[in-house]
Amino acid sequence: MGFTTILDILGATIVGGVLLLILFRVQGSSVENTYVYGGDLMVQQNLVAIVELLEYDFRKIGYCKDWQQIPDPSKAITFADSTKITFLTDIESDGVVDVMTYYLGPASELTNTENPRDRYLYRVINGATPRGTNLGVTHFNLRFFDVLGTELSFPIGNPAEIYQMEINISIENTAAYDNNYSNAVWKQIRLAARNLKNR
Amino acid sequence: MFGKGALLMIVGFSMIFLVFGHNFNNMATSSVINFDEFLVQSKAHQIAASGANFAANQVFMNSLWETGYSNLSFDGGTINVIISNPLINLATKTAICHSLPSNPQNKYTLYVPNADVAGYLAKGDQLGVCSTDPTGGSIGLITILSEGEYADKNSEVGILLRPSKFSKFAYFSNYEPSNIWWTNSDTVWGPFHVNGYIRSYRHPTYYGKVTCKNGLKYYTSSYKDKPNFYGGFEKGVDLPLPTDGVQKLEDAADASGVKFTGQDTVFLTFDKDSIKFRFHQNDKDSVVEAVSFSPNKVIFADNAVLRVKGSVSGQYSIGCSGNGYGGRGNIYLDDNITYDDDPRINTNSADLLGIIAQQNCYIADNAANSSGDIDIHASIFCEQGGFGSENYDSRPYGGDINLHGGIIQAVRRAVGTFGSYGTGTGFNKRYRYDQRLMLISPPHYPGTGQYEVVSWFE
Repeated sequence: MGFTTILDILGATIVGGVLLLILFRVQGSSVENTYVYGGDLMVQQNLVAIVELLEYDFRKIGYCKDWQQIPDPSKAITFADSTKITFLTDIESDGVVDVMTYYLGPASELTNTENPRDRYLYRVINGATPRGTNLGVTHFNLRFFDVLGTELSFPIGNPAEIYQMEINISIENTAAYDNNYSNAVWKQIRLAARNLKNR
Repeated sequence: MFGKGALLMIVGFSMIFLVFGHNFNNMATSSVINFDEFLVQSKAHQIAASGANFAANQVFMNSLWETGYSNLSFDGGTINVIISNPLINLATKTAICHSLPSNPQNKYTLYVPNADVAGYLAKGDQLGVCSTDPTGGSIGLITILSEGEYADKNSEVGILLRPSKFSKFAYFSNYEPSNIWWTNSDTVWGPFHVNGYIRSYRHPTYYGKVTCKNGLKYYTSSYKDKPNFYGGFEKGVDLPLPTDGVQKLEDAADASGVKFTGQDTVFLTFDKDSIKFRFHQNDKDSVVEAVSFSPNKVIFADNAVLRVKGSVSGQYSIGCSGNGYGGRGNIYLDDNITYDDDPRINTNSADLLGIIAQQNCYIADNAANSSGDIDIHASIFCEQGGFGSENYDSRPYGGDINLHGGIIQAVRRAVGTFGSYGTGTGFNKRYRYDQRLMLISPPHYPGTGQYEVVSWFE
């Protein structure tokens, strides 16, 4: 054993240490990226799921398979607010009028997620016990416009004035790596439920 | 040794990077797939909605159109549209129960040509009216089913239409004089239409859908005079009054109703279960049982003056024709004409009356109408004239016109005069819409010749 051997050992230790550090760093980055990429995917999937449900329900405002149950569909919206809407519809297309309500719960309600901003988005049918979906909704905002395109201010005294609506929804992860939450936004600029224009 | 170790390390790192890289690629790809699927489904929906609009437009322009569309190429996808019109040649059609492919619980009863039945059954449809059809397979509705296909995704839109009757209107006027303004004192509770401009002063209120041909005119500005629309507004709608509405009512009377001919004047009184009529003021009434008097509930006075009053039990349409000479073609309300079962108290009341005049419908200037209000329960139709008060500018002030129904007229007539002191002569107007007219109409009431959408599924 000589000086050279010692140098070899020293060099190997240093190189090995550096490689180990690199490995740890790679692992950390991989974990972070896995969370971030996975979070992005989940946010987008959640957004699509909610948007599909919203479009499916909102397009049926004032719809009933037995049209005589809602003879004047322009009166189908019974309550409208910036974060809540109640309207008549026929979910199962069975000719029986259903009452559907969408509303956003308070942020304080969801305490079992790391995201302090996420809330329950409630979809209530016929006054059933509200059960919210926790898909990371942080923002659910509605704007309403009358038949001449003028935005209606809240409170809306007569929901029959509503002719079109704008829906804004934002979704984030329920948990995120290092508090870097992914965010996705969807906006339906003018949704006009066709049955509001009937007759 | 060191070389082998380095090699192993490199292979190890490569494996790690491959695995992580594969996962990241999968997630990125899934994101794109997620977005793509949403886009494709939205596209299929838009194509289906476009097909529905195409077909509805065709039906509106040609009520006999039943061809539909088969594999029509549109915007990268295809449209298939089925039209079910039981109002045409029903004897040559068969009822089948059709399910929407993407929503099987939503079934539609379709009336298809007999020759096409086998094709529908082969696709899984069933013979007969759908048991779950809440309309009972109504043969009074036209059904349009549009299927849009895009990149193997399908979406459907279903529309129900029915022939539109003028009786659905709370107020219809073919011509509004330029000095007629709707003001903040005016409220209309049902569908409203003017074949011209709607002149608005200080925010009149409309609770039903408002349509007009030419648009809105404000007395001062939109800010000061914009109406309150609580049922929608649409301009560019041209809905002319028919020239044969009264003729068709007369044809119905000839078929299985009652028609008075050769008389100058017909006095008609509804007395709940009976109907009285005479032809001269001092004659004795002939009394008949209401239920059997007119099988199709149409009572018509040909080329005469019709004078009417009483309490109506059942559903009737009364009409008269005439060119206006000597008052022929006018209907006079000699006293209250009301429903025996008041629908304002009993919403299930089946009593309904259509008053259909070729010329005008006037509140008679007589003793019965000169003191106190007059109550009118009817949908009034004046093909060439309007609804008004006889001698509106010279008769004494009579009170209120409590109309429960609707007014459809060629030209707006006056019912009284007013000044700064209030109403001077004639009547005040207290018109309320009979909401039942959104669903039902008096027998053989004039139709608009067009269809209206009553249900839109998408």
